[in-house]
Amino acid sequence: MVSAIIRETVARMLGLDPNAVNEATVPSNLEGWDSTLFLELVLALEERLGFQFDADDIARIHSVGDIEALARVRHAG
Amino acid sequence: MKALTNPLADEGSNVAGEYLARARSHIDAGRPREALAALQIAYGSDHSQATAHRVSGLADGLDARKTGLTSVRVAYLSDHLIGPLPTLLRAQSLLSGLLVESYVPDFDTWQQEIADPASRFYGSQPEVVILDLTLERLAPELVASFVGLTPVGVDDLIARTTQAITAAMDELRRRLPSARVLVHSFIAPSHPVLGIYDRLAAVGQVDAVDRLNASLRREARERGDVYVVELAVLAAAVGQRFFDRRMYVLAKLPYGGEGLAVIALEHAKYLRALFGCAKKVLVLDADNTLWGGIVGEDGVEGIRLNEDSPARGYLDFQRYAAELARRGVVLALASSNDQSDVLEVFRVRPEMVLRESDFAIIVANWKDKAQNLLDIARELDLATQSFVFVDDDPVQCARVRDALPEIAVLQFPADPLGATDALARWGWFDTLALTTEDRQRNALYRSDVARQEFARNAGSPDEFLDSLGVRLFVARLGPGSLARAASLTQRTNQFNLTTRRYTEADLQARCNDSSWIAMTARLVDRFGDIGTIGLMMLHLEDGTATIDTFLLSCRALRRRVEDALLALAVAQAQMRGSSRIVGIHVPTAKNTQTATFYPAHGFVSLDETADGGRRWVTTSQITFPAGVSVAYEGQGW
Repeated sequence: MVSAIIRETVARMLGLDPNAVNEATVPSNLEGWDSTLFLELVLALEERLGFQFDADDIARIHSVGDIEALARVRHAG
Repeated sequence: MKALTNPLADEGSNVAGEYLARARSHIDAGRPREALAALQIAYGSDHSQATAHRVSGLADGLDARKTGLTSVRVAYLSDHLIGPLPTLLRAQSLLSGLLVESYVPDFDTWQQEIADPASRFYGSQPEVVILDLTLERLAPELVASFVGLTPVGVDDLIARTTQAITAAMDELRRRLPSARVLVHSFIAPSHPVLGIYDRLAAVGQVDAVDRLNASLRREARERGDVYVVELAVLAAAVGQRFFDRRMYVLAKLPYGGEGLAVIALEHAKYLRALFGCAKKVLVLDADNTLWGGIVGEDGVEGIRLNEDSPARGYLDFQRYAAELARRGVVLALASSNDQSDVLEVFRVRPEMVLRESDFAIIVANWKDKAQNLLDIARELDLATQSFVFVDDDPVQCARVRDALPEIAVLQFPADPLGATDALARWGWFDTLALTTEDRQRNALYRSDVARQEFARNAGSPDEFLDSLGVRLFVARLGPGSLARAASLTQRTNQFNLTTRRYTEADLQARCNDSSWIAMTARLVDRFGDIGTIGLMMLHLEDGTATIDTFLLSCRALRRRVEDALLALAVAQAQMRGSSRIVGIHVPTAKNTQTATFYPAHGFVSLDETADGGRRWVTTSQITFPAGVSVAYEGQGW
């Protein structure tokens, strides 16, 4: 469920087909990527997920899998 | 642990996903109007940041001319990064028919951008400039080293900060005389270092920021066309999530997600008000919106209207709607009910705040809601674009959104106690002035409905007009009519030849300039005084009078008023020595009825203008129509 929300949000922010996003997707490899878009993605994810990432965790996010791992930790905690 | 998902938001998100995909294929297939509708439905159903981002991106594929959108150029000047503010503003404004293009300079270059006449900022030719500065950079002592400042030192900081901003305002106004400027006010620390002593001390932090904001407001008001965006009010509504220190540390973005959303919405309110896109009509459902329960099933006595229960939310909502009506919002009721049941509630239930007479029109039947909204628009002679529709039924909301995506749809919340805020936060009806006409508007529309009754009973249209007793009173535009005239330029879309939007400051400048003739017209008929309904502005140069603005409120249409006022404007220009009269028509999506106005009065085509309009010229007099009397009032004739 959490993964589905994350992938859908990433897809929408990047203009991708949701089915084309998986845990290996690395947003920064995509065309048009910049730091503003990254922060917008973080804010958009937090809005949908209902919690905030720690600043340190944000700096460590590379792939969609990283986001999912952080969300799972939050969800379990 | 907070619940991770909200099922309603998910549903909105799924709907949005579907419409975003549709918008994409409409754009690819070259169907911009259908694409616009799909984008409006997507963002109308789901206001999430992800959807805003996608809507804003897909809007690149829309052409303002082909879609009837009004394009607006915005530039941001700030001493920090602004993140997604432009995308949020673009998505939000698209709902109101505005296509916003933004210029965002590099980080903290606002002073260079203003100082350099060749900067990319000036090159972007902004119509609206948003100045978003922070105390942390402008006057860091007020924020971080306040203790030990002397009263004189604080006064000096306030004066210097005000001066830095007014210098920027003045430079902007000098180089961009027609641009509007929005300036963010400052926010005091939520926990001043002196704590409870802060308010008692000779110099307190909260007091210092209050005084700084007060001087900013004063300077803005003196200049006109400069508006202070009250950030503290927005921050108070959102709470702690307004700011986000993580984002400031990582990206020099001071605001959090919720802060960004309310700031972008606040900017959108100004754009709507400035560019003629504020809503004018509030259409309310009845069952479970004006009262709890269903009158057809629960009976007139069974519906819930109780101050001491959650049903109080319905009464609060009615009180808010009544306030809106007093500020000039036209109320309409559209209910799936028997008309007699709805009217009985008004007559039998004393708790009702809204009375039958508060509504310009009441429609209760079993027809399709979207059809009813179209009927209401026709009856009131107002475009559906200017409607806000509130209904508790998600199916009706989806139906109206789908059929009429230009209407703002609000689903009445499950908890009625949240309803007033749910409507008020959007500021759909916000304007930059409040005029006598605004306060009388509902009465005016009710008398319009009486006129239409009268028209139906009259014989031919000519007989109707002759018996209506139309009298026009024309006055020089002056201090007493500036607010109403500015509001007319900002609100009038249908009978508006050039659709040029002006503020009070713009109009004041024309009053003071002897090369302009600027006049307003007031309309009176047998049903009463309809108020100031027309504005005409002509620019005189070398024997030619150019009609810069010719507009009529839709309440004055189809009674030969436009013919009489054109004849009068032309006669005035001729008396002032202009032998050639040039009329300009700039087509928009909404003013199609004015396309033949000049040729129908004997003007001949001259040439095209840069903005896609056409100039028409005449050297003849225009005949005054029969059955309309015209008199001059006030000074200067």
